[in-house]
Amino acid sequence: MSRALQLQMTLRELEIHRAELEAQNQQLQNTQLLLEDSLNRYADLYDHAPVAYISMDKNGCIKRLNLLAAELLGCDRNAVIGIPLAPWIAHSYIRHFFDHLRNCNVGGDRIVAELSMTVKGKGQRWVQFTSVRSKHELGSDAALIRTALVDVTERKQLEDERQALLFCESAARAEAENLNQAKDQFLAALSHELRTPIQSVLMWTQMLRSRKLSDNDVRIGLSTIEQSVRNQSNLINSMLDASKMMMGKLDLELKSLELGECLQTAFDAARPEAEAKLLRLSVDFKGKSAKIKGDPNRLQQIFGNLLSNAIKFTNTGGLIQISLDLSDTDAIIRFIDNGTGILKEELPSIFERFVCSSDRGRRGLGLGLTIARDLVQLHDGTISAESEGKGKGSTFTITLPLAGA
Amino acid sequence: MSHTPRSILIVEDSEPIRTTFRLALEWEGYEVFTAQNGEEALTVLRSIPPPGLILLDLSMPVMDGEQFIAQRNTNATLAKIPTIVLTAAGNSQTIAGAEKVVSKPIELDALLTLASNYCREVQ
Repeated sequence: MSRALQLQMTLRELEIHRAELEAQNQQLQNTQLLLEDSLNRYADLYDHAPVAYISMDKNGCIKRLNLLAAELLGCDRNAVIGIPLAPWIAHSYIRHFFDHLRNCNVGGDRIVAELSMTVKGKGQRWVQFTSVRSKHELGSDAALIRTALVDVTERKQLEDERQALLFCESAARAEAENLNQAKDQFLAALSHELRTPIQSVLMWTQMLRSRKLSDNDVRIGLSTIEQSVRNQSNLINSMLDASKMMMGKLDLELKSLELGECLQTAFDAARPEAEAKLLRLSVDFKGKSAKIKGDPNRLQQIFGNLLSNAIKFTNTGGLIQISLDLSDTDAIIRFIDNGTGILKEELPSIFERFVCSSDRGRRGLGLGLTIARDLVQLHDGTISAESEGKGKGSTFTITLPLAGA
Repeated sequence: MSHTPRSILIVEDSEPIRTTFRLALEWEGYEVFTAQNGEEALTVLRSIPPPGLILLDLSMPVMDGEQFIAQRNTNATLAKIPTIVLTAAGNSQTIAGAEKVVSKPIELDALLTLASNYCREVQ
């Protein structure tokens, strides 16, 4: 083969290679155009997405953000590149924000957190951070955290409102249940208090009618009936008093009186009941000549209620001390017993209407102390109770303003 | 021939009711013991032969009727004594360990019938 022929063949081969290269070049150009188009579309989508996007480095410095994110932060997009996001996060959520970054840096799936942050023109808002860690972005060696930010304040507020409503509802329900329970307890107590005296009256009248009783038995019977009827009548009076006071319709018949005398009368009335229970009574009326303006019947009712409580809550053989002292302005009356005492948790509510001792056998209607308190207050006085707890006895203290003080 | 004792224990905190029941039953020839609350009743039961019947109030201080039944049931002999609950609380209920629950006020005749039902002499 001649050299000329060889040269011609080489040229043809080169020509084929050139054509192939041109074709490849054309393909590359097409691919680049497609890539540019794709990048443009991506940038367009990123910038105008209806969700705020921020890319941060592992320390939380802003690397990229879309237009909505810039609007959210209230800054020009280029001005915040390289700046930490932390200053936008509410102070009390900074720790949560860094925890979120740390979780993202560890890797794994989408990490979600709800943080409170300052949003331009809207103040504090709840924002949901949904973040993933990307391997690396174009032109950057380090991994970035890509976060979508969604304002969830309204949802949070609805949740809070729902929680508050649920709380109110359950509080109202608990109160209704308590009231219902108090009503049941009151009815049971009322039934008990009304039926107990009736039992003695009924049985004695039947015995008096059907039997030849000795004079002594007749005497016992009649006095039992009388006492039971009196108890019943006192009970009904207490209920009427409580109801009058509840409606503010109870009037005092005020007169100037010696407090010692009043206290003595109440004490004498309670003495037989205390003696029947073998209680020791100690009286110290140092201020017995104290003059006050008051309603003698109502004062006796106050003292009587406190004495009968002390008797009721002191076991056989116990001690009840009653004292009357004076300060410059007030008479101070104390009823001290070494009886069953009052539970710490019951102490704050013992003057409330229908509140009874948790000691089932010593329950009444829960009116005695309420009436005493209301009557003391009508006399411009004060009443208070102290007890070290169950089994530690109780002290009730009444103060009444002295006349002319 | 076996006897059911003609004795009755009344457990009741109300003094007038305790005395009334006691006298009514004593007139009928029963031997009557009384206690003011469940704790006192247990003490009384330890010191007397088992009575034929216990009349038990529910609402009492120190130890109430239901607590008394629970305590009494820990002793096999005492657990066998028929017990009737007399309550003024009003709502009829059944109480484990009681033969029956009767509402106060109870009539004189009804009380005596109860007593004779549980304390009659058995041939």
